[in-house]
Amino acid sequence: MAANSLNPNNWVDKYSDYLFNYTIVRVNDREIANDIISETFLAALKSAKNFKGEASERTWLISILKRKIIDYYRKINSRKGKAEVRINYNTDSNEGDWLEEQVADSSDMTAEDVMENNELGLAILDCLDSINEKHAAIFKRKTIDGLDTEEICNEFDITPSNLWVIIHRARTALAACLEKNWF
Amino acid sequence: MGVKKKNFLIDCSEAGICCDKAQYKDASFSEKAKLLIHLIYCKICRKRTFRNSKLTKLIKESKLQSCPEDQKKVWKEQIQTKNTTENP
Repeated sequence: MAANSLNPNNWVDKYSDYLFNYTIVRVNDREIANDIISETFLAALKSAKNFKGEASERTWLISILKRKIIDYYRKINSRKGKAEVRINYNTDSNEGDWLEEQVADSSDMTAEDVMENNELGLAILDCLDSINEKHAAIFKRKTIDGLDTEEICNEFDITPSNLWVIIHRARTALAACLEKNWF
Repeated sequence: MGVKKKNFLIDCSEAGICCDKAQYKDASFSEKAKLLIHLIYCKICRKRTFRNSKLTKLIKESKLQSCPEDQKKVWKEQIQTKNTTENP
């Protein structure tokens, strides 16, 4: 019997944040990331019959997403010939400006830093998956979305004291999980 | 541990909540003061506070984003429509 099964109705609630964070750092554009994830969900539904249940639902979706990201880069690379290359830095009118444009931004992160931070983000989402669903949702609203305590309390119909106890439990669990899986 | 700490202003669980509030800049002045006083004598909470601040730093560094709810709704509708046609 297959160890895992598909439940498409839960995909968005369970995996959209993970898929989004996985994609955004690879394509660096929210709109494109949304389109790719949309294509991923549709492709997954189309090939749902081929799901053997050996991998988890999320791993399976990620493998489809990876293909979609590769397809996206193939598509834009095929348009490479049409790309406009700017090499006219030294015209009389803008002489001197180019130096300023070309100076490295000291705050720039390397590609490795960006990928490492992305992996860290995915590890955090992984850990959040292992804690109580409601606690994780409240934690995300407070920490990732940065909502006010009052707003979250209204949304989840809880008191501020409840919220802080939930946040405390979520943070404690998250710190323990990250210590185990990240460091 | 608990009995000893009860003699002081706040206990460890309250200090933990104050520390969490401070991570989100939601702690009031008195909460911060109580936490600081508690940290002077409680080694365990000092350790926890350090761990908590480190977690805040990591979350900040990860630059996690969540998808807008509108986009999630669009995906849900797409999945529902496609699911009924693909797997009736």
